Amino acid sequence: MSDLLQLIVSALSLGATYALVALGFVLVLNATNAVNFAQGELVVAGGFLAIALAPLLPVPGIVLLPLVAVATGAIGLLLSAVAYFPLRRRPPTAVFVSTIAFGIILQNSVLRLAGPEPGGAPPLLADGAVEVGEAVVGRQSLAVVAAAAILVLLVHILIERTQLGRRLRATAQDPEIARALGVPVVPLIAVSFALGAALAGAAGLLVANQFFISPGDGANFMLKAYIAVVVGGWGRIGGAVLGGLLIALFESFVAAAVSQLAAEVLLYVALLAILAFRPTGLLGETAGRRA
Amino acid sequence: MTRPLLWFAEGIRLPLLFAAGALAAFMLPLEASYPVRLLTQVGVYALLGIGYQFVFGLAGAFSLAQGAFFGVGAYVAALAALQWDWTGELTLPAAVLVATAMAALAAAPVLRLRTHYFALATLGIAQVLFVLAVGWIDLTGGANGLAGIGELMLWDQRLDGRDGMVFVWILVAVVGLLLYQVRRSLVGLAFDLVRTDPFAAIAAGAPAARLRFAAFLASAGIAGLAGALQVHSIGVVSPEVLDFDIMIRCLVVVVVGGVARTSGAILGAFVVVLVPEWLHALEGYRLLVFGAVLLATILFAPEGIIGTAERLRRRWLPGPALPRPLATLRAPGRSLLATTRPVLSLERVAKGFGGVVALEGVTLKVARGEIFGLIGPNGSGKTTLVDVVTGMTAPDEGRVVVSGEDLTGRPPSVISRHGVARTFQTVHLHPDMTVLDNVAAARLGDLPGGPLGTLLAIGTERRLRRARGEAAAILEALDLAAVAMRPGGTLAPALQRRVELARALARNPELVLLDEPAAGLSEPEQAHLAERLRALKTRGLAMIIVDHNLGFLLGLADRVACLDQGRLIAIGTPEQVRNDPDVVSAYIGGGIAARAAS
Repeated sequence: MSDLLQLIVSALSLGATYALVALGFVLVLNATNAVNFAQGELVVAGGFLAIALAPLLPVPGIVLLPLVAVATGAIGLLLSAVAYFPLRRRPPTAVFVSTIAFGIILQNSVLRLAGPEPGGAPPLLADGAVEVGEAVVGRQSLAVVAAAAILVLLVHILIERTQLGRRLRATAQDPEIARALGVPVVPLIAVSFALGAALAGAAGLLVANQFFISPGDGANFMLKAYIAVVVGGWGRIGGAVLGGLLIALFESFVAAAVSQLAAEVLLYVALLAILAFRPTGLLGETAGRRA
Repeated sequence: MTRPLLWFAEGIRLPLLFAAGALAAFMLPLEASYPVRLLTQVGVYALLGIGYQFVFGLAGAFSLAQGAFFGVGAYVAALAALQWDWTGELTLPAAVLVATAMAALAAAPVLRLRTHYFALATLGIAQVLFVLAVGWIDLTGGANGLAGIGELMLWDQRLDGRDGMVFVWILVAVVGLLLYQVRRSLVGLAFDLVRTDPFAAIAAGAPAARLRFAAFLASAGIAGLAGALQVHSIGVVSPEVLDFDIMIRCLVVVVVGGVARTSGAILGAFVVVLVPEWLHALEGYRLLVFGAVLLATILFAPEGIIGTAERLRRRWLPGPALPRPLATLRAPGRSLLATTRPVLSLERVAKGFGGVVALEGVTLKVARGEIFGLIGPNGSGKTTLVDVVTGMTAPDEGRVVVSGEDLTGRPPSVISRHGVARTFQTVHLHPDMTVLDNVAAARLGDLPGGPLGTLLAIGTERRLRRARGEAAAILEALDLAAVAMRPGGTLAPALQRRVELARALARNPELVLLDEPAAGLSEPEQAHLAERLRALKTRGLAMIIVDHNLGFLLGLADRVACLDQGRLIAIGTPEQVRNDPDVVSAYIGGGIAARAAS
């Protein structure tokens, strides 16, 4: 019983980080109908930024979180300026290649600066564990889940309740109409990139202080975010979060029951099965978003 | 025997240049192992890149599994060599077969996905294989990989060092020639359409799904071959061959060299192998440099080195002249049976989109040589009807019978082969392809002999010449000869519509569906168009014309039907339909509803 609870909390904390990455992925996908293939590398950049900042600023991770988010958000802005806007009138493959190229540059910069070894960031609040009945649950896991939940809530409020969010949604639905209605589409797309990157960076920090992170992990995060989006339904923000949690639970339980290898392989096989039988995503799709 | 020889000779120009270059390299006293090793590497990456040109360059599908198929080929060759002592004549085919088979398996779920969904799904395939290579230690040796794979042996003939390099380059020449032949043939034109505009491909009758499938398989097989050659040349295999690193190099090869070109892949392979060798200062920064080069290329020279060179050549040298028209297309109404049977018969066709009724209980017949007008308010289901007839949407209920054959739910390419062609409400032409080739591409669907005929059409310039001649005749008949050699996208909208009509006629159809052909035309242009359509009618062509412009239709059509909210509310002569009270109220009511909604 206590093991089960531990497993669930650990899975949820992993899922929370997947959810953040997937959420950022969907924000950019909706705003531009293009995939940011550097999303996984932004997670890595966020994680290593946290690791690098920790010795300089001896504060808890929760204080570093906004700093890292702002910094990766700035990288996201740079990404949109270099790899998206010059190419937005070109065929979509141009943007794929450019964001992949940007991701390669980012990943190898991290590799040059930090070396190939995995690293760990300081805990969000404090180390140690709390006892819940008989179970011992890591404080860190709980803090990660809470931090991710707060971030998701903030994004939800931003999208659903603010003028900026309304404009983002309008841009996502139809950029041409939004432009005709006087919505400044270009800055909003830039904001989407920044927001998506900031979420990836935050996820990187959360991952780095619970698990370790290494410079080569980007593709893995990218794919997990993609699977989360497939499971949750294309273009749906709530779906991306739910998808992230579901695949983390799946991964953790299969890994605990069989092996990590089986978990990974089964996850991708499940992905291919979903694509074969329900190409609109497991939980449905917002209309007309698929090219 | 002459045919393969001719096939080779016809497509030899550019590859010949490279073959000569390679031959010159072989003639060099390359006994030292270092240049031989480098040139072998270049050959392996050229193969990988040429393979990638099929799926990415021709079909335009951004696969991220090309590196993975390379890895599969490497592991298959390594395992076969180590476990069963197989040598090159078996390991190479085995690597090709296994990689191709894996692609065929993966194609079912992923190949119908488009753009980034396809890219990410193929990245998923790559990731599974990578995880398996690392984790399935009993088979693959895990992260350490497998060592001690022998050098390439073909039937007890050892191909090491220089001989190995020569062998790799022979394969590069063969596979490169294949790509070159595909690209410059009628099939290449069809690939251009499939890549750029799926709707244009449908209108041209190109079997898009089959072309994509073939390209995906060819890419995987060639990547597998490259992987096997790599293993034999370096003697070890590890999960690195499945790493994204290989995929990045493959992208650099293709994007920097030039997309879809054999010569681009070869040039790109030189860049990817030689540049890091020459610039030793880059040691450790290689991938960083690749990333930067990739980004710079896509930003500043998106067509790559070869593409940019070709663009300059086009600018400075005059383009080809319009070919001599070839009036070989028979008049429509090919089968005599079509005189007695209706060309099209719809039986109680229904279609809904998530609760919205688009068509319901639509039954109608169109006879040979009949002009059938279809009117109705906005959203009444006119375009859906055209989509159902042409196979772009499958009906929920009912039957679509073309010249007596039930084609309900068949794909557009099949229906197109049964003599049904169409134009679109919004024009779909390849913007960079000449008007002539936009029309000539529509002749692909009529190649005799099914898939085999299509395969044989690869590389025979004769077929392309003939298709262009036939296209020229059609363009001349429609007064488009003057613009035939201009890129499709540079024409005025009214002319583009006429090119779409020409493309539909190039399918040699018995039935053409025209979706708002008169939209945006001036009065005299409309009269001109009506005159041409009447001329086609006298040759036996049946037409369904969808239009808002009642004046245009009523003077032209033999019969007119009116759709309202997916139902046929009237059908009869233009006079009858114009005076039908239901039609009048549908139009007026529809008008009010439309105003209220906006």
